[in-house]
Amino acid sequence: MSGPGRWMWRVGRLLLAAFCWLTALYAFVSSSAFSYLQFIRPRVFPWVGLFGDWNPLLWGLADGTRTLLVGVLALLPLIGLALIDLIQELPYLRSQRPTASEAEHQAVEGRLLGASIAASLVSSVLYAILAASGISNNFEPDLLLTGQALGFAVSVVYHSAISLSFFLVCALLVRAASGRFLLQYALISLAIVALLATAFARIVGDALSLHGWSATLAAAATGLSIAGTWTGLRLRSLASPDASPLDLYFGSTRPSWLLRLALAVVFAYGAIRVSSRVDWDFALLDSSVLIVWLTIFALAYQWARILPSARGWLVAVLCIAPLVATLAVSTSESMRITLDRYGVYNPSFRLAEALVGRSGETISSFDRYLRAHTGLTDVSVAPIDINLVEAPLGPAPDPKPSIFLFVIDSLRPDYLAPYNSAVRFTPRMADFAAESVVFTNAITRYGGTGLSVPAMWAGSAILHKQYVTPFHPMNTLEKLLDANGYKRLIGLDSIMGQLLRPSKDIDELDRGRPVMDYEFCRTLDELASKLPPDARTPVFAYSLPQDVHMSKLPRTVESGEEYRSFYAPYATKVHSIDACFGRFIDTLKAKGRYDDSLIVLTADHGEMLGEDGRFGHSYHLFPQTVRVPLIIHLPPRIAREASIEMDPDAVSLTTDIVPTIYDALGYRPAPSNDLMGRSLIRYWDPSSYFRRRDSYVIAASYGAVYAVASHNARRLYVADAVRGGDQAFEQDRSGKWTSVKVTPGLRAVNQFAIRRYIDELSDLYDLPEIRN
Amino acid sequence: MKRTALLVLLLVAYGGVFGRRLVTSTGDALDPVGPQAREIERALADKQYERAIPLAKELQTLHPDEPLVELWLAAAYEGLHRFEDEAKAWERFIEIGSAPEEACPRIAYAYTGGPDQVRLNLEAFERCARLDPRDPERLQGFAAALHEAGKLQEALAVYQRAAEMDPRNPAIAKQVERLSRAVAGGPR
Repeated sequence: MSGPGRWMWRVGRLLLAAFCWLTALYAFVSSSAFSYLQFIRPRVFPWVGLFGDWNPLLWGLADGTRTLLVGVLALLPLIGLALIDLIQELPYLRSQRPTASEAEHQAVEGRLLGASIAASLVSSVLYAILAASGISNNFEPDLLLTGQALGFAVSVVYHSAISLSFFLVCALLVRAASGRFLLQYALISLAIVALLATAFARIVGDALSLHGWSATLAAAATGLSIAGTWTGLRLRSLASPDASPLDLYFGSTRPSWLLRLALAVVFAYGAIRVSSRVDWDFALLDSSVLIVWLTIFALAYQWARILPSARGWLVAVLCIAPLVATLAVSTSESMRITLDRYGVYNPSFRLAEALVGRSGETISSFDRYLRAHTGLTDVSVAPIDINLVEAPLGPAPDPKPSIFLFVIDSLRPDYLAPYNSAVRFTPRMADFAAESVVFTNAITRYGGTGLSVPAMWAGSAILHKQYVTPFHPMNTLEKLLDANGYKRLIGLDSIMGQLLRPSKDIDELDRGRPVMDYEFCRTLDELASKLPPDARTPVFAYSLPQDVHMSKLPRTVESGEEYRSFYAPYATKVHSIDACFGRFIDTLKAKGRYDDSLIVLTADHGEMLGEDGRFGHSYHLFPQTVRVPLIIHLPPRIAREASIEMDPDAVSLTTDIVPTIYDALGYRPAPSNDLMGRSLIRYWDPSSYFRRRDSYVIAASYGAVYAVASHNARRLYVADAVRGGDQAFEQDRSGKWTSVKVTPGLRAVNQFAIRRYIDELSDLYDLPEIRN
Repeated sequence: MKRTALLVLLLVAYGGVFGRRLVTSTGDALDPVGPQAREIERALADKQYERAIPLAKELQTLHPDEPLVELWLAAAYEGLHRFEDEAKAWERFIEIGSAPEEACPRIAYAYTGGPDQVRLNLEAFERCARLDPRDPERLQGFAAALHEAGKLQEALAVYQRAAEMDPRNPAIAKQVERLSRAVAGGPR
């Protein structure tokens, strides 16, 4: 095949590959319970949903191993085509002359060595320039000239270590199959497949919490399909009579090296920009870095053909240098801080450090224990009965207040005036707070909507499973609504649809809209229009508006003065929901309902808005994703009760909201274990003291990441079993959070608390012993 | 051949330095979720403290510098109301754990349960306030111990320091108010 035919064939092949990879990726994402329920089903990105609608291979898929196998099957055509390429080009491969003599091996090694060194230098320089541009826009006292120079130097060391490891592996494989071209090619291919499969497992598999044999299979199929397509296309286009096995991956093809370098630079820059808007634990960013590394290595490999053979001593010196440098890199606290900050701006450095640097963590037995007890999709669990008061639950005394529970997805307290005096863009919430109780120290029980919302409705920590069904026996809020015959106005999003029993008392808000289109303003208008005319008829309303979810933020914002020092795309959305919320409160007042309404304004979790280069919430637990606003307006007749006494600065949890509602209605909630929430409106000195003193375990909804909030939630220990390792944070009196050192004692205390929490939950749900 | 050996040596060296992420063994360190550790923690969860103690002591001989073992012992002794032994376990935890503040306030309560409790209680809470000066609850505990020992003036001063650190803590504010009245000679 030649000329336009060859190009058409290549384009067609690439289109097919793109289709297969997207199909497989969609299936892999769907196979994970959390990402299926929270990402695919609610159509967080509508175009992803369209792809699923349009692609018959993906019809009817739900989470589970079967879906993952569909993803693997989607990759088989690419692997098959690669085999056909291989068989067709076998005569060509057989005609190639292998490297056999010592001189030939040394010539190959000289080229490989030069390419490795050059690639590591170019990658380090490219990302250092991009990092410098990011740093210049921010106040980074640790990253002045010296800090950046240190970051760059360590970056060169780590990049060199990675590329020289690749050099050593390739050189030895070529030598191991000396004189046999096909075997050399097979071994190099195997190494590249292993590299790509490992990258997939670490970057995508970990992000989706895929572990075990099925995850290995997915990683292997992905590695094979990428390497097969890559080398297959090259096999068909290379006509060089003396190609080496490495040329079949990195050999010269068009377009020119200059154009490809320019494309790599643009791609690296673009990926950093895109990742700040749409990413999941840097999965896109890390993948882009890997692509840039490989592209630059290929360019360097082509350039390095001019290099002479490498002498033994030169190989030894160049390879030992990064080893010695790595061992010599001090881990002093100040240096650690500088390098951590540098990693925020330099994704290539961050990835390289994660692979070879001293901060690289091992996956410990404790991490495996956490993974085994997280996301229990394959474990069959029967529902348990959770009751906040002794069953059966009778009706509360009249008059009953109306209850409005607004859980604004991803709303951060420090973007609300009641929590931050610098905020000027939420005047209506400030007014509302003045007539309510502001719980200044509220935290979520779960990072991520998937478990946070069910736990909120249960008024208790729940098993790490999406979901134990039927949910009703655990749904203490629904039981309260049933016992009191509340008319319900509820946004039945993808989660609520699973938590609630069908009921004639439910009037659905935002009916027919995908959850990601829930807008607070529209929901409140609909709610206001559906309120019964008689102000004495109590109602219950619930919604989970998505206005400030990362995927719904505007791309550009006319940044007003009031948004200075805030993340403007987020602040502007907070501003708009503030106005709507204020209008709704006005409506309640005008209809004579306000003074007989219990209104809760809160969030399911917080959000990262650029801290350490992170956006969104993913499965991370950081102070910014754990802290939530919690403002409760009590009807004055309830607030005036003599026995009501509050400590709004004591730590409060999202699982305390429902017990508080029980209490406000006149019940006396009596939690039977430490996992259940407690009322926030009936305090006495000792309970306040214990609440402030106790530790609370928090879990991420979508991965094996657990945290312990202690010292009245001013300290946070985080154990990340997805990536490995742990970290700790402490809040100073000004409210600023800083990272602190994890000592053996701190680790022992907090990991013991996490294990006790997991054991208590396992006992409560009568879970069989799970092997790590 | 020499060149191949050199490359193999270099690769082994790379594996040794950079390959530790692949190693999942805990080596000589105590495995917190190993069978023995799980047995101890199950015993503690089931309130079988007598069973947990010998198991923990067995691991203590193997891992004398492991703070987790001291945590287990402290929890077991607390469950058995053996407060002196609990206090000793906390002392060991402080010695080896490099996180003395994490022993507070339990170590202070442990001393409270022993003989000469008022003095020991006071000393322990004072120590906690010193070990973790950033936590107002530690000062609150120390102030309560001073109050208990009848040192009202000093208790008030410490409560006032705690109130400065945490002005919206109603329990501390109440104590400041009560003690101010008491020191001034009003009703307590």
